[in-house]
This record gives sequence, C-alpha cells and structure tokens, in this order.
Amino acid sequence: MEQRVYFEDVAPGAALPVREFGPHTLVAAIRWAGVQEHPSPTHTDREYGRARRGLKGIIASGAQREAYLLRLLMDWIGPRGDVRKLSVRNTAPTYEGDVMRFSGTVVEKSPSLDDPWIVCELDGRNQDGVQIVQGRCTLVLPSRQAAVAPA
Amino acid sequence: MSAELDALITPEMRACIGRTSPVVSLPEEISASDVRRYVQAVGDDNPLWSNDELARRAGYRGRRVPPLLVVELHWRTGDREAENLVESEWSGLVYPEEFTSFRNAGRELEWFAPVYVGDLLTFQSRLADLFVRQGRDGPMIFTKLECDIRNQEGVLVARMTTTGARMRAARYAEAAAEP
Repeated sequence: MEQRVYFEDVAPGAALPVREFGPHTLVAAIRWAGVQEHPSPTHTDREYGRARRGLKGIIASGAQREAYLLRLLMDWIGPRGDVRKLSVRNTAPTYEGDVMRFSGTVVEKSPSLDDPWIVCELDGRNQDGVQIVQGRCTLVLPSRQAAVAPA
Repeated sequence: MSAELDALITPEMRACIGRTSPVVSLPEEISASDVRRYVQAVGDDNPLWSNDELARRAGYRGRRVPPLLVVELHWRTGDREAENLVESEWSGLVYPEEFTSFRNAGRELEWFAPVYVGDLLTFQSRLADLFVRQGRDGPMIFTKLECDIRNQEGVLVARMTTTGARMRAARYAEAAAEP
C-alpha cells in the first residue's frame, strides 16, 4: 500500500471516500463477539432484543461499527498516517441485513507542518438513508516534505 | 440549570469524582491470533496489521495492532459492564434509588503510541466527571469515565473516555441505539 494522501493535499471541505460495509450478519456479530470477548446478548441473541428491548432482533455492536469506520479512515490516510482521536455518537441501530455507508468531510486543518493533523466530521447512513452514527476524528497525515513518518 | 436538578448529585456522589480504579492487566500478552481474528471479523485487510516490512518502512517497529482492537481489549480485564464499572468498589458512586435505567451515551477514543503483538497492556479508570442534564424523558445523571491504557513500559498508548447516562426507568421499553 503506497502512501497516497499527504497533509498538503487536503483542505477543509475535502470529502473522504465513501465506503459501504455489510450487510450485517449474525455470523459477523459472532466473530466480533469472539474478538471482543464481551458476549452481549443484544448483539448475538435475536430473541433477547425482541423480548427485552423492543428491537427487531440483533443490533451491531457500536465498537464493531467503529471498526468498519476505521477501515475507511486508515485505508484513506495510508500507512504513514495515523488516527489520534475518534468519537462516535450512535443515532440509530444497525440490524441484521443493514448496510453501513460511511462518509466524511475535512473540517479543520493544523496551521503547522510540525503537527500535521486534520479534523473530519463523519457520517454513517443505512440503506434507507437513515443516519446511524455521527462522529468526529483527528487524523495525522504525512507531509511530502517530511523525511520520516512519526512512529 | 435548576437547583432541583443540581441537588440530584449529592456531596457524597460529588466526592467520588477523581477516584481511580486499581490498575488491571490483560490476562496475557497480545497475540498474533488476536489481530488475525479482529482482521477477519471486520474484513480489515490493511497491510499495516500483517506486513512487518511495510510497517517498518512506514516508521514502525513492525506490524501494528489495529487501534480499535487496542481499546476493545479492555473487556478482557474483567471490568465488564460500564454501569458496573462505576458502581464497583473503587468509585463508591451510588445513584439515587430510582435511577436504574442505563444508557451508553458515547465514547471518545484517543491514541498516543503504537501497540505491537507481544505487548502487555494495563488499564486504569478514573471517574472524571459527574453532571446532570434535563433529558426529554426526565433528568439524566451523566458520568465520564476515563480509562488509561498503558503498555509494559508504562507508556500511555490510548485513552477511552466513556459517557454513561442514568435515568429513572421508563414505563415501557424504548428502542435504544446501543447498550
């Protein structure tokens, strides 16, 4: 994976690539539960959600959705970029069969090459255009002028 | 904000702000298998997590542990549900009796240093803030928990700040966005 995006290339208003993940499946939820080692029935038991929470069935773990969102971010910034901060607000659930369509916009940029951060507003929608997450992140991008990336 | 709302947070509750949990360690070092299963669970084929040479060219010691996995490892320490974290012995926080309904009100993640396979992480939580707001369905007591994640050299690698909200139980189940 070559480095494609540099600090000098982006400015407030720039759009991040739009990426779609899913559709969410019970198998994906089980795999995630195995990684997380936090077997919450909300994410893995269809009946639990229906009986206890008035949900249609399982809902995706918020952290799993963040993991997909980070795929968008980390793939975009390349191996010499890094994520510093991520905050995500959950606005609607992701059910079995739902897709997660993530997008973002650069809203702020560091004034200094010595600390090459950018801030992005993030948005997530399902297949019906309903907002599922809203978020914000701080990313660090390499400069074309820098000799080595921050480790 | 009304005096009545403010009074929901008693001096005893306020005294809990700043308290910290014991430092808890992962049961074992992070393994390559942990990373592989994370990669497979979310289809994350970023070569930074699997290609040592590419990672070194990018300035790292070797392949990295994905940032979100670093944070999610906290579940393995035994400090489980967010609501239990706050009411466990280390904070001493006790809510007003009828405030039993809990909602995860979001979290903020920060990363400060890379993490590698073989690292042994420790976790320590702090009750950073406690405040009350008037919600649509009634007053809500918010807690802000900061969890500091360090590696075996004591370097702060990440911080997870979780906001939780407690309110009086609703009469009927509400379709919440997230537990």
